[in-house]
Amino acid sequence: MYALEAIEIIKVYGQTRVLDKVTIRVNAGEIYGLLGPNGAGKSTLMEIILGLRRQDSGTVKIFGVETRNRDFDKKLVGYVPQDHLLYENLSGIDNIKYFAGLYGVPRKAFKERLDSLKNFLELDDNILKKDVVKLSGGQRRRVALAASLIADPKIIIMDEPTTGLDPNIRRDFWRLITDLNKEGKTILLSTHYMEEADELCDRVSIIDRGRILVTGAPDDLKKQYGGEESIILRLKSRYLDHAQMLFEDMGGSIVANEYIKIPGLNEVDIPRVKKSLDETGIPVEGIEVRRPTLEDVFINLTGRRLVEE
Amino acid sequence: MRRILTIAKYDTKIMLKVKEALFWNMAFPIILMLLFAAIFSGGGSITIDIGILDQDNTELSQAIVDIFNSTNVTKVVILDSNETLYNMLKKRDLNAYIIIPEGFGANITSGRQATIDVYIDNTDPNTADITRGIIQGVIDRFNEMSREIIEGFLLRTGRVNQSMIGFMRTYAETINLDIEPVVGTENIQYKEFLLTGIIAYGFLFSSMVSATASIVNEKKAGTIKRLILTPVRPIEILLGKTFGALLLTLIYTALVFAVGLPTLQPKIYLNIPDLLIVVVLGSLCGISIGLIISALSKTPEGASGFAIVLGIFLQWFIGIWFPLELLPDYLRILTDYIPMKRALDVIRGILLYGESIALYLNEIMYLSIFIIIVYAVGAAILSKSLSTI
Ligand SMILES: Nc1ncnc2c1ncn2[C@@H]1O[C@H](COP(=O)(O)OP(=O)(O)OP(=O)(O)O)[C@@H](O)[C@H]1O
Ligand SMILES: [Mg+2]
Repeated sequence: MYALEAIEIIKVYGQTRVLDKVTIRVNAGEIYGLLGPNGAGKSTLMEIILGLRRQDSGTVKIFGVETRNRDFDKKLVGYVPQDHLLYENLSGIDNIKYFAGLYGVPRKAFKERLDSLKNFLELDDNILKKDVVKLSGGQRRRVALAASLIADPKIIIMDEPTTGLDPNIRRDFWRLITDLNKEGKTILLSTHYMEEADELCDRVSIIDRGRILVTGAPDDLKKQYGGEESIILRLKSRYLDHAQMLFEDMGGSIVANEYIKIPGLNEVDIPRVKKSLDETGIPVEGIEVRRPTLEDVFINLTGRRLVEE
Repeated sequence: MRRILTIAKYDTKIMLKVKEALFWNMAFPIILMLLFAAIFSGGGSITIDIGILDQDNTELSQAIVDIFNSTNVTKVVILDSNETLYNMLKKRDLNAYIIIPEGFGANITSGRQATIDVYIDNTDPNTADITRGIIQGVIDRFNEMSREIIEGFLLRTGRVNQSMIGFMRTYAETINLDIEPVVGTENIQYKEFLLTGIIAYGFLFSSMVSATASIVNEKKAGTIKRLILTPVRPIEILLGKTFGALLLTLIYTALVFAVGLPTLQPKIYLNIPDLLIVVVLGSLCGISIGLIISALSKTPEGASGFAIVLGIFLQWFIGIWFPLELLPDYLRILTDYIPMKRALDVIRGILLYGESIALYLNEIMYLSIFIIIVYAVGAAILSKSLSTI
């Protein structure tokens, strides 16, 4: 039995299908990622899974029970929303107490859980006493996580848990998420950072414009859709066409109108490539070896990049 | 029940933490109450300036002047020319002036009809009313006293002897002062009126506006997403918020008394149990209206804005600051349908006249029915919109 299933979900806003027959199946104990650019439909899918929005068709099951069923237990699922959705005018501790009250967490269990959460999330009383409105982004997220975890859910749904955080703090969060997973929580997260999906997730679905393009373990996806290792040449755009001609017979091509990619080459081939460029007088801005990433997978599947800069 | 109380507790906490809301809902009306009480009652009572031209100059005319002097609401100016008095009245230095014509005393003692002339500044009808009331009061008092005064007067002047007094007693009772018709006013001071009115201000703001804000802000801030995910039911959310706004109104009411009692020192009947019942009913009326506003508005901002505007508007039509008697009749009849006005009537009955709530069964019925219907409709609509975003 899957921990979470969303089957053939369709959601239409006006004329557009924001979700077009989306199916995901999450195993108990895994970290499952939804990787996709802005507007792909990640939040919409999560909110439908949670029952916050109504799908036009399709079903959602949690541990085999349809969520619209009366005997579906809401305590099974915790949610850490994209915007932190805490009560800004309440202190962190009041927010946590509030949700504990609404989930009906018994007082004794509350104390124990709070202590372990404080430890786990590195929340001290100083942070918890402050009104949420005065907390930093990272602190808020930790409080939001505590408010979701206080009811001890089996499945945690996190919508872009690290968007907008400093790279260092982001790494701390990754550690937190893996730790949670080790404690036995099933995690569904969304992200548009390919490193996040790569590093954290056991399996990933790549979602774009309301459709799931592929699903699989990051390494498998990279192998299957990421292409080979390649050399990337960064050049001024006016030299792109010229360079492409130069490397045409090696399979070089212009990617995203930004750089030249020559597939099948690696470090060993760099001197050779440099030499040809020097001979034709094309100045090089940068040259590197690239191993396929989930970004490549996305680019190969859609012809576009994951995050537009 | 635990969930409802949890929502109520933290909702109240949030409302008490939003500084601007706290100022407008709580501090502002109380400051205004103190300010109005200071401006309009001059530290206790109003002073009415009355000019007197005593052309009679008898012991009886002097008695009238004495009575005017003995009240603490009038300041008497004795003058010697009709013209001066008239000019002072025109310049609004006087609220009224009185001419006691020559022969006034003689008319009374000889049993003929006596007349005094009263001229009142009518520019401000409210003050004119009060002035008339006070003059009427003085004349009434003079009528009560006059028998004794006349007896003393007649005895001293030797016009009658002791044996005739028995006859005079019957005679004196028929003395009639013919002054222009006057209208009496209720003998309640403004500060008591104000203190009781300010309680009803809470029904509009601490109840109606706060309930609206606390419902629609869940949507605005997105926190409703989190609430829906908990096992809490929509009706529990609404009941929790209702209790929250009610609690806030009770805190506000307690604050009004805590500030108002020592500073204004009002003469009121503090019947707390009866008062509590009306305050709860009045507050629930406000909350019910807040529910309807939240249910019918398209946007959160629209709902909060509308509730505030309605509150600002309604305060003039439920008699918080000034008596509704000042309104034209057709408006006054309409105000009777506003439940908060009815609640305030009952509050004034209890606090100002020492009446029991049992005297107001009609009002209580009206409030209860209003609450049940409006709350049910609002809750039904809102429950739907609170189950998905
Ligand atoms: N209430 C709505 N009405 C109309 N369109 C909507 C609504 N909510 C979302 N959409 C549209 O649905 C699409 C998917 O939005 P969604 O928020 O699910 O994307 P996302 O993948 O979470 O993006 P992001 O990374 O920006 O959070 C977007 O094109 C968005 O404009
Ligand atoms: Mg999103």
